[in-house]
Amino acid sequence: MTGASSDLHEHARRLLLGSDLTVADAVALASGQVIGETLLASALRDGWTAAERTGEGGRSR
Amino acid sequence: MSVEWFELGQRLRASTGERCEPRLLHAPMLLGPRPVAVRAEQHHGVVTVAAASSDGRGEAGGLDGLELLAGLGVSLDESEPATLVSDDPATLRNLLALARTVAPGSGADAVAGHIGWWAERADFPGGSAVADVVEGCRARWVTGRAPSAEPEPGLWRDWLGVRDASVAGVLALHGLVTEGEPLPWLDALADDDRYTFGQARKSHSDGWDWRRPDTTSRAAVGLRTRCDAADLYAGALLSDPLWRARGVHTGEVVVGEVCGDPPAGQRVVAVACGRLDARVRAGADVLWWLGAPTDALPAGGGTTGTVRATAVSGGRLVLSLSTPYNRPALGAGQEVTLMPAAPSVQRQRRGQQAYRSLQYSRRSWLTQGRTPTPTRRTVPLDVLLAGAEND
Repeated sequence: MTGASSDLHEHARRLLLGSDLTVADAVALASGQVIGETLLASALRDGWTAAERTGEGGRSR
Repeated sequence: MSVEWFELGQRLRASTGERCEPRLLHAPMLLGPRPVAVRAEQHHGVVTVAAASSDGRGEAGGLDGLELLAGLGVSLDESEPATLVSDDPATLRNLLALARTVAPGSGADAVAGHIGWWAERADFPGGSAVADVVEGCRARWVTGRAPSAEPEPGLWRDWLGVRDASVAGVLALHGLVTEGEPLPWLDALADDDRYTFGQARKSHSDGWDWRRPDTTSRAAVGLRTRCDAADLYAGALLSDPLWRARGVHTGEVVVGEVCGDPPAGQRVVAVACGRLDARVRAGADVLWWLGAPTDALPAGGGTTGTVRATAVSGGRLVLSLSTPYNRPALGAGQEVTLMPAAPSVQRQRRGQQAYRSLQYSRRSWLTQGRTPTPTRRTVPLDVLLAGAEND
């Protein structure tokens, strides 16, 4: 995860405790580069795609 | 619950794309007719007020700060309330401290009374009396930062491209948060704000001192209206497709599939759900429709129903859903989404009117302090937390 703030990296790392996943693994699962079958994987993917599914774009900086 | 992972997915996307990801498709607050941005800081007992509105801007300390606010239309002498727009939770506390230094009945008491009204309305979710823009931003978007970084207004200015860090920039942030179509029922909550502002104006002209603590009956009516506002705002959030997508991971929104092929006359239908962590209970009134949580609701807003029973069968949660006689045709395996039925604004209004009439009736249990016949209801968590706060 290039360019991610250190606080988000730490936040993600804590949420992934006990899952054997790294933050980079979480990005791959969330973005759909890797397909996962677990609840964690589907929740990450749901969050990543939620706005897409409703046709809403993000707000650029 | 998997909502933390859901939000992490949103944050990772925001971080990768370097843009705010929406939590809601709708605006979580109304613009209001007269927004006034205020920052109030207290140093060595002196409160300094910086304020801006479309009428101008300025900065002043002590009672001059109240005069500045009066010039921007913050007064019970005005026919319409001003919206306090702030990016710092300490602002209202400091304004209230300043307002309490004003002598009752003095010239500045109309401004002080307006601030007292803000303080009273601040804990009504979705209201348009007080707008905390940071809370509004957090309701509408997530950033690619950790949640612990998001209470900082500078972060939101950075992510939303607002360069003005002065008090006028608070109005710019407010403009972005309120942009677009608002959540439903915010106008009903704004009507309540206007009604109570009218009451505050009347009390002020009758010589009532706003500093006096609530009577028991007034506090009871206040609790009732706060609960109603929290229920209505929760219902408004669930009307937003993106919030419903999140709701799947909090258990508020339930996705399942129709079991068997229920014939047209069969009122109770079994729905099998993949997740066991649904928060729906037997007896709950729900709104349901055929399709996914993020789908637009069908014309008429979905179908109402009641969950008659819940059971676990074969590792799946099976809901017995009581449906109306004119329900849509259902077939085996069709996707069904259920969520709590929204409260009725009309029913809430009738209940509040009944409470208010009890408040002014000498013989009612409310004014006489008698124990009423108990009726049970869930008190929203926000209201419990607000009640637990010391100030």
